[in-house]
Amino acid sequence: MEAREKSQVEDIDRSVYDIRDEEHDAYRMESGLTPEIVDKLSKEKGDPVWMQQFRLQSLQIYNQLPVPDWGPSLEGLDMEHIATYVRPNTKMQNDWKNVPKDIKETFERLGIPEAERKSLAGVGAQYDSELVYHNVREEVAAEGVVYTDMESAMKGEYADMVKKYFMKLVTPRDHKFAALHGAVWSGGSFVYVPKGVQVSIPLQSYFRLNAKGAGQFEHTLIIVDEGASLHFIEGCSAPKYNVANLHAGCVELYVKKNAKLRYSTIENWSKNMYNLNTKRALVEEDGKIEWVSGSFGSHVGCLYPMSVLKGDNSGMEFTGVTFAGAGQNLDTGAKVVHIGKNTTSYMNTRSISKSGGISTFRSSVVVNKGAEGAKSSVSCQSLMLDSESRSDTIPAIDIRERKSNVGHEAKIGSISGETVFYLMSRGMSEEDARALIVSGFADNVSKELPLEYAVEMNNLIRLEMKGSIG
Amino acid sequence: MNITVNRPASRTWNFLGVNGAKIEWGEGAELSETRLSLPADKSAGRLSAISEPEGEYSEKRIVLDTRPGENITLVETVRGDENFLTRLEINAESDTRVRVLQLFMPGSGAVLRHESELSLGSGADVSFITATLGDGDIYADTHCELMGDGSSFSSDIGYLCRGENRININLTVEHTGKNTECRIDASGALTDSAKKNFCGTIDFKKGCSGSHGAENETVLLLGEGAENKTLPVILCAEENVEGTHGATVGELDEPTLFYFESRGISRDEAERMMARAAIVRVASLSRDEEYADAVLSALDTLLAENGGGVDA
Repeated sequence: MEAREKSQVEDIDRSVYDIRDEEHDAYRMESGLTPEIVDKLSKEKGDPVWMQQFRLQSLQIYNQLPVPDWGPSLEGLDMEHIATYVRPNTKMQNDWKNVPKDIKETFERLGIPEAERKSLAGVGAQYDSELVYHNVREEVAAEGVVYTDMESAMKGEYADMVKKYFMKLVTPRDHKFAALHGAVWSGGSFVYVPKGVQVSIPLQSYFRLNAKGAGQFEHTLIIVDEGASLHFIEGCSAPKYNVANLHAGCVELYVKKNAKLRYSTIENWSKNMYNLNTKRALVEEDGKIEWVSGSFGSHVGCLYPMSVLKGDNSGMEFTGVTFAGAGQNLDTGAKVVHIGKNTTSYMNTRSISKSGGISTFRSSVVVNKGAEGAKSSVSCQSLMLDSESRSDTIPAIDIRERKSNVGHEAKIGSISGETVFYLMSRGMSEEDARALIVSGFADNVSKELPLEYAVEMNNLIRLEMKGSIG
Repeated sequence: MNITVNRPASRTWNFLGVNGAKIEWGEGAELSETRLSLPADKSAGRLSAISEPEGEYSEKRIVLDTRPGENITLVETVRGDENFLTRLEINAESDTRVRVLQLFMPGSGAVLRHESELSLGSGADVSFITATLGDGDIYADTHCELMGDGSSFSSDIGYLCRGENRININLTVEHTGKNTECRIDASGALTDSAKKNFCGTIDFKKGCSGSHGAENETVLLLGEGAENKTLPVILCAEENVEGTHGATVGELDEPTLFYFESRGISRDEAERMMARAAIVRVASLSRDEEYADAVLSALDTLLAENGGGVDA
């Protein structure tokens, strides 16, 4: 096959994310992970006794559990050189005017205050290990919607609710980095949507990790009560350093009977980041969880949102796109467990790898005995843009109920020359044909994303059309 | 002693139990190696190998020698009432055509292990047609390397697993040469409390441009206690290739049932017919009357032992 000139796919424009603020931390924990450090962290945060004990138990579990023996290598991650707690030099504010100038300017460059003004019901902005800004629209709060930072929720009027739910869905024994999270978590949001309340405008949390050689371990706990609905958006970024940073956050979602939750994430960590986030949703009868996930950053990412379809007629949809460029090894996908009757799950993912990037789609569909009427469909497509890159798909299906139907399909390849020829035979130029094909490849994912993120993603896949791909 | 067999090319979550199978195995007598080849004056022909255990945990090795341009059909029957390991090695020289027609029939309570190691030269084509029956457990591990440009491999597997038996199939095809092709098609039925693991890996190595790989599995769950695990994997380090896989697992769908019932065929009968169909399919694909007769006879014997039908 003769060599053909390749189209260029631009890497994401990272300049706005890579601007570093000078570190003016109020407090930075020494690097490493010992009971003394965890105890000191707990005292710094003024934890109640139960949380202090929980942290220390989690640390014990962390020390017992092995690093996973599958997936990307985590050899470059050394906890001895990670500061697990960095407190910025400000308390949490509910007015951007009161946020320190450099931090405010960072979030302004990222578009957060503007997004809040235009289209969000509430925003939580975390800088390193603590929230620096948190606000919710009055009319939303008036309906009884609670959107606050985790620390306040844990110590205030929602303390009992937090204690009831905190790390019960993702327990420290789940895996080593869940245990780590249990020991050193800080920041994050607590959301409660009362029965029957439809929050029509999204809430957003944005996580910015500015400190070099640090970790961010925010905890997000969302409870959507019976018949309620919510769209929650999470975004993140960090400037790039030449040492490793670590993100081991945890998201626990409770979708009650007949409730609906859409959880959208645009992950754009820098390429020195180890992103080992854990997300899980428990869905009750007639409830629905929708995951929308865009993974564009990190040096190494392991990200598999999991849905437990406990209630009859509960459902899950997962739509994801992953872009792995030079120096990136992104291992992403989703997991689902069907427990109730007549449950449904649907996964639809796209991935692009170029310039030596490694993209792995990893999934698990488990249908338990008794989950009669379960239906599941998984579709993953991967596009490789050069032979320096890798693209792997490792989907697993475990079915223990005969009255179920599970289907899976996957495709890996490059752009088909025949498809280009077909479009050209209909009068389209070669450049337009190729642009159309590549846009269409990820379109069913980008259209699920919030507009500003879809624009960002479309910038990514806009091509310099100088020839063919593949 | 406990050993781990059928390790897939790529590991995943340990909780799924698909990173290899742990079984109990012991030391046994290693039988002599059997080398098969066509007579020197022939370039096409049919060979036959019947492997049966000689004592618990015995082993047998079959090596098929080929010469460039040959056309060989190898009928391999593996059966026995004791735990048994057979190894099949094929080094397919350039432009050879090798068809391997396999019939696996472990006896009740027996564990049959079968390991295949295949290496294909340029333009070589190897196809496996495999019927998996019997009343014991089967662990089949096949590794195929498409080294030569233009080489190709296909595997059609039909199985019927009953009682508390297990089938564990691990099939890995490595595309190394350019313009290589592979096709994997597995279908079968699980009744009673049968358990099945199928891992099919298509591995496109860097440099295998122009290659294609396709994998498909269809599993019919007929038993209340049946358990199925499927791991269709594509590993890709080469841009200019195409790999696809698909899997369908579950009971007979409503449109199919309606079709049968509209013709006076009950659900139970329809399920029996579809369970047989997976085996009948591979028998007919073989285009070898003797092999097809043997497969269908074994299927009828098995079903007769079960009171004339597949329990739904």
